Amino acid sequence: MLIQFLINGIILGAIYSSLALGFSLVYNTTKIFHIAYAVLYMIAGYFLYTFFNQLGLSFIIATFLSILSTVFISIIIELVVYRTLIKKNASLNVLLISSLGVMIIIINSIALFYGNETKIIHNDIAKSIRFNDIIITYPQLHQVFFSSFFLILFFILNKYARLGIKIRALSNDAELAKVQGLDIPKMRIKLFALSGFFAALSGVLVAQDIGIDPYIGLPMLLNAVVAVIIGGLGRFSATVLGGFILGILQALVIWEFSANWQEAITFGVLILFLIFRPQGILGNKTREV
Amino acid sequence: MTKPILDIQHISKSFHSKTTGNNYVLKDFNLTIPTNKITALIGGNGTGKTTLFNIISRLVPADKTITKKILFQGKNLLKQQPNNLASLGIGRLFQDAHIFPNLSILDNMCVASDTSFGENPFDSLLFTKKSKKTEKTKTAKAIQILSDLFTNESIFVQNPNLLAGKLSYGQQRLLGLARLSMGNYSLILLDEPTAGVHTQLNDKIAEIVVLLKKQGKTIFLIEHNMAFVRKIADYVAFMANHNIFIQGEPNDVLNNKQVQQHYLGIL
Amino acid sequence: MEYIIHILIIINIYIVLTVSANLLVGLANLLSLGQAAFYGIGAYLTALALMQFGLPLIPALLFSMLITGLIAFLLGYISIKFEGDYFVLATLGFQIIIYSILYNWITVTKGPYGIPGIPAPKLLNSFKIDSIYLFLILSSILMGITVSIFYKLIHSPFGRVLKAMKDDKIALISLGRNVTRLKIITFVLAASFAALSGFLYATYISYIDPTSFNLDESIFIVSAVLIGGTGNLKGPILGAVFVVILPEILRFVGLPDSIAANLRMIIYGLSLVLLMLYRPQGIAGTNKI
Repeated sequence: MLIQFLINGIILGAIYSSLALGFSLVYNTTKIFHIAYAVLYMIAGYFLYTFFNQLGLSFIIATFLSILSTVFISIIIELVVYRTLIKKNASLNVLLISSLGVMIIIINSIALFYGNETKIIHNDIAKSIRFNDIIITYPQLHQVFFSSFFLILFFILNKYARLGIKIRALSNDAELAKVQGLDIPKMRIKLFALSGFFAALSGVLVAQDIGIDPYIGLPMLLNAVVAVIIGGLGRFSATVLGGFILGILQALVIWEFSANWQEAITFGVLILFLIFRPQGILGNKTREV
Repeated sequence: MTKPILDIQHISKSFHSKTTGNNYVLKDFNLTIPTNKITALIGGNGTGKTTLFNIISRLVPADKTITKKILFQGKNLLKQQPNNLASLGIGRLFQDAHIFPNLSILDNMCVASDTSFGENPFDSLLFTKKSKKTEKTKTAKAIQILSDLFTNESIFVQNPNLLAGKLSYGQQRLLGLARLSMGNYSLILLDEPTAGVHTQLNDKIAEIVVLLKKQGKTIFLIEHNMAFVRKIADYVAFMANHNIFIQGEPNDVLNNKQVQQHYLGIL
Repeated sequence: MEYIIHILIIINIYIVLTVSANLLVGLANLLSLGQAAFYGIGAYLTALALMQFGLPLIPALLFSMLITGLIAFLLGYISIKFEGDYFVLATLGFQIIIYSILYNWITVTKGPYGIPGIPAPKLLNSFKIDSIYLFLILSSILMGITVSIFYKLIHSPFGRVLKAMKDDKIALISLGRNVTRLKIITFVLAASFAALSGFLYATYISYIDPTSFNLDESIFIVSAVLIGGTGNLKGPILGAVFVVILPEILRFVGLPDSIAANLRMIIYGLSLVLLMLYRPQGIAGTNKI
């Protein structure tokens, strides 16, 4: 029984990892607390619903279009909101609040057009595989497989491709990167695109499993943020580690106590980390917390 | 020789970089500052002078060494909280003055006073009589200092309620200096007081610094402006290679061949 | 007529919330997402004082404010050590933990079932505040006291040193001021007066449950302050009036409740984004955040 919980935890951790990666792609490099990221996760599911359930497109095409549309929205947020504010020398708090405003607008617009109730993507019961007492559903398999696949792809890209080198340059020292000729505006668009991709990926993988409602974004984002802090800032591998650890931790909490206290314990752990180990497990820079 | 007011012993500061290893900014730095004199610390850019000031001000930690000490009137500063230094008698002027742009000139002065009575809700709400009296005293002292330091036509005397953010860069620097008279300091650290301002203001700045010294204060300043240093310094220390290279009377140091080579053209 | 009185009472409650939050967000530049938690703690402590201890009005109010202040001191002591985003995260974490406790600790708080039948507070043993007119008077008096206290604070040396702290913390430290102490005092003040609102809410509505004091409510309070304006008194008051009146206007115009609820959130979100872009000090405020 415990093993079932742990496996669920690892699979959830895979989602947390890829969601957290998308968030830290923006946060590590631009220092923007990109709260609006929460709605990208949610809206990917609604794109999927629209393309697949409402427009009747094939599932693969619908998924592809959903991810594409979400990436598009991610870039729009950067161009319309963040870039304008940065030109005006806005403080980090102002950026956070605008991000919050964008999130509120999008959540409620979706609720207005689609309604508040949960929508299901697949009406039939998902198939699953069994090992002894352990059940893993097909959607869960998709989640862990595709998340891991793209995470690994990202790390290869990050290490070897030029994009990766530029990302690291930007995370380490934006001023220096600019002086060395890095085209920051263009770079940022690529970052937001990549970030949006991971939000969308997580979004569609979970949407087709448990469905969607307009309010699923923020709780998931908060989990992603906790994963980033626990894992450690500065390194993407730390973020991914944090995601898996959080998934397993939450599974253990549900196993040991109940689902009710999961949120409190998640944030209790966050605060303990902020106090005692703000650099996270794989702590990199000694960050001024 | 009067007892030194500040005794800096064995201070090191390094930054670790993944690519270049340990970079020292200060290496076993030692310096004593004579009381009631103007001491100037000079040396090339980025040689750690501001870092030294930040270590004295307890804003930045020095490297952990056994022998490190900064003695101020007998007390080891390295054991103090940063906001305790003012009450011990140490004042600081940062590069770029760092005045409060959203406060008026007068409010800038009042926040710099040596007593923080009134600056909490209880005093403000309950002890109204005493708070009002303290405020009156602070304001009167501020106005007195401003009129002592500046002419009647100056903006400081004409319009003390002007938001400090609206002052020019040079005027903000002067305000930063004036603020230091509000406190009860025996040692004042000035980080490049003439940097970035019109040379016309240099005389005024010199005048204020000398006045502070006349009031019994010790001045320890960082400068790149050698004319200014020649004019007011009683003692000069030249930094190179993360430490003091030569120190002594201004003329001895500034006429030293190696120092001159360093400042080729600026002297 | 009674309807208008009801609106005025709610406005009074929210003015106390926004004016106290403004000290934290607008003057001290501490973006806290935890004010609703203290609002809630105040409400629950009020229920405790009135129902378990049978205290009359003033002792019950003071009990609620002081205990909340004490809790805020402990939480503030921890949170204040964090800078910028981390402070926001810490307050968010505490908000979620406290909500979780209110929701799950059923033996003490009755959880989602809430606490019904909170009695009308008694002034001097026999005089009960039990009609809507008396509540209007009570809430207006308490609101008036709060506003004059905060007016005095803003225009006092305390307010001045808070503004200085927001401008340049390091310079203030070098002038000998204890910035940590200032932040904690501000945090405790804001929390204690949020508890006052909790007292009014509990005694007026006479039924409380945790869902009124969740993260959304914290975001709501902060948004009201940011929209109305930060740094002075006019701003928060305008903000409170705005967020209470807007839904009534939408209802008046004939919009069905389901649409009105989402639409007003969209208007709040849009106001936040537009204000951050073009007028970060809010409509009537003086300090940009």
